[in-house]
Amino acid sequence: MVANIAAAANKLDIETDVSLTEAREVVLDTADEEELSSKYQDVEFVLGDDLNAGKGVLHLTTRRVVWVSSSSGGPAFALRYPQIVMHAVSRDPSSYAKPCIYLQLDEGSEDMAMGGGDDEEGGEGEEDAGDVSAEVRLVPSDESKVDDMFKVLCDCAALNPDSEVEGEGDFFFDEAEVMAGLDPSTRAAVMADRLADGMELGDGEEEDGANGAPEDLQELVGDDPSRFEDDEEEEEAQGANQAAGNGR
Amino acid sequence: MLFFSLFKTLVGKEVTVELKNDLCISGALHSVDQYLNIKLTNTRVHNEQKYPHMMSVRNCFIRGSVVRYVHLPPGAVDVEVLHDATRREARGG
Repeated sequence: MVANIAAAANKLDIETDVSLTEAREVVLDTADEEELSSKYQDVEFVLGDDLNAGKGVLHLTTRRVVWVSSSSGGPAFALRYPQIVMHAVSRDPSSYAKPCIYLQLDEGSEDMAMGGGDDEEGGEGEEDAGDVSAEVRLVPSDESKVDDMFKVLCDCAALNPDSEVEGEGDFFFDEAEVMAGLDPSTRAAVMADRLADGMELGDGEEEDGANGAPEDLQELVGDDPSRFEDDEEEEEAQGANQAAGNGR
Repeated sequence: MLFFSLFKTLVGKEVTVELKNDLCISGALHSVDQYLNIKLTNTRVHNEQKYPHMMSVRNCFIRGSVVRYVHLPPGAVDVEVLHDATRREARGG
């Protein structure tokens, strides 16, 4: 049973090789600013529908959700907040017999550019026998702890935003849509700017050096004005390639 | 901070959050933060394909980065105002 859970956990990217002290306490990664937020005794860890790892100690740190089995030699599991797509307080008996925290884990959907994510452990609608759904339940013996566990998870999750984007990130927008919404004089001005940018180097706002070339280019050219001269066909292609109108 | 501000005006309204893994979660918008993490109350979680059980949970917290869509109730948002605001933002204005 334990081997099943460890294997299933690995498939879901749950860390099973958790560093513990001799007293089965979690080794915190202080270099990563990891601190212990809360600890709860007598919490069951349930993976998927019914893989119950038994009772253990739940450590909620500022970087991870760590569960350590109370049986000596028992497993330990760790989740990072970025892999928890959603967590919730479940009090619906038809969902699970006891009040608990429900967590859904990230499996790398097709929206995200994960190589081969759909092919490996069963894409949508395809489940191999033995595939466990990416769900974890944390079931405290003391039901009254559930709300506190939820709150701590919220607070710690907020401390771990995805590194690439803070806040709203770049906008994706429809160029035509944006232009359509402008008043005519603004639209004309925007289009005039873009046409100017799209022309060959040296036109528009850049400062001109002695040859009518931008100053940077002037430095590179040095004494040889024909150093970077293009063929005539290439100049036209360059103009068309100039990217106009970046977002943000 | 455009959408952060938008969502703050929708607190209390019923929304459906569709995640990138196709999960759909309906509930009342409780709060949103700068990362667009969303908290819902009185939620119903359902996705027939993967998680066939419809589950109701009291509170839930959804990681902002996994949200694909937030379905808003009709009439909850002044679309013209939002349209103008997003065009301005897209132009860097």
